[in-house]
Amino acid sequence: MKRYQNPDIFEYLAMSYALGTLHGKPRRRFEKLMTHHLYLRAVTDSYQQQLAPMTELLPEEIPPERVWDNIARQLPANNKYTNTKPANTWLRVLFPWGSTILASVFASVLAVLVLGLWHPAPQVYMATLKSPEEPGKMMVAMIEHSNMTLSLDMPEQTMPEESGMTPVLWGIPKNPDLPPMRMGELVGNHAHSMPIDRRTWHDMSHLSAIAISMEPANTKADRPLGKIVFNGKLAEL
Amino acid sequence: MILALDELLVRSGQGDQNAFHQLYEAAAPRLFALCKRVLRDEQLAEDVLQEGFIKVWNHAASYACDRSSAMTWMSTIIRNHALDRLRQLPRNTYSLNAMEYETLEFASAALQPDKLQQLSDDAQRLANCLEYLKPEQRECILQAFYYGHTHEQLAAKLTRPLGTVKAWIRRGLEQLRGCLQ
Repeated sequence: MKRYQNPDIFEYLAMSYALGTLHGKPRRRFEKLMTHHLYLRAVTDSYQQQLAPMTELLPEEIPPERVWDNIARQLPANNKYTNTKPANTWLRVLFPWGSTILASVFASVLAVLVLGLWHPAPQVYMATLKSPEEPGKMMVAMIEHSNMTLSLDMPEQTMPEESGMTPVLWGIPKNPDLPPMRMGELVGNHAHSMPIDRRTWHDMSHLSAIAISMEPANTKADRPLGKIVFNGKLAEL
Repeated sequence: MILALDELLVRSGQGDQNAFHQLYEAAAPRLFALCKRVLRDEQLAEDVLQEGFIKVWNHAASYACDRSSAMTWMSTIIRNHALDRLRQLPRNTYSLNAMEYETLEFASAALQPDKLQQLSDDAQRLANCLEYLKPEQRECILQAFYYGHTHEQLAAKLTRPLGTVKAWIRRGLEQLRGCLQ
């Protein structure tokens, strides 16, 4: 087993990274590993979130004014309060009564196109799946449009193995009245990815969570009947 | 109107510079205190705080208030930046003899009940859990977090074998994780 797939080792490295005791080359190596293995990133983030509130215990120390002055100088120029008095433009000549309406239409289009209020369709969905029974166990599910693949990143020996049982992936709809969506089986000992079709990709936007249940092999249940071994909220990236 | 840090960070992510200024005024004193402890150099701490807040501004749009508090999110960004800067320093500029800064009494929940009430829920829970650790585990974890000490530096400072210090930290963090869950 590779060192970073051994929970005893990677969990310790994640703890050390979050606490700050991992310095120099080992810290850089671990950062590189985190870019390739999302479960390392998720475990490390979890430790960092648990430790970060220690900052609140510190007595306050007011930084000198020059720090904010330097920050403010690096912020983009703020145009919010520029002169908004309407100019006597050709629009005003052509539409003396409607320039306000036109201006608001332009403003809306500008907001959509320039300020990014228009949200393009997501290209990747991600979920951190945790075991309801074993809090230390987790994996990361990623569904990518670029290669139409659902992949699971996890340490070795994370997926439970039961004779005659198969892990089945489910999409849990945002609408609680709709049934779970069967996404596929994780067949084979090391099958941690599966292709998805266009319909599944389209339906991703209607899902709120991903779950894995253990189902009897060679059955095609349309809802999870066996034990849920992993679940987690889905996020659009 | 006084807004919560989370709201100010969300507004900063939408490009609201007034909200960002309020966010800085509210959060910078604790983050500056953290930078000063990690880096042991006031000028360097100012630089890191400044660069850290620019990172906060640039990434504020990706902040999700349902995943963590604003202070937790900003602390992680700025502390990681301080640790990156710390590891770039030549070894001889970071003398073990100059490490004394103060005691760790400020992190004691038992001694400061008034202060405890001003903390966020996450920080209160953490402060309580820290109290359950053995003194040596607690000391190592606090020293590592606030001062960026490596295992080796802690072993030298506490005049204990490296393996002992590593075990204290590991068991302390495992216990802390169990308590926080």
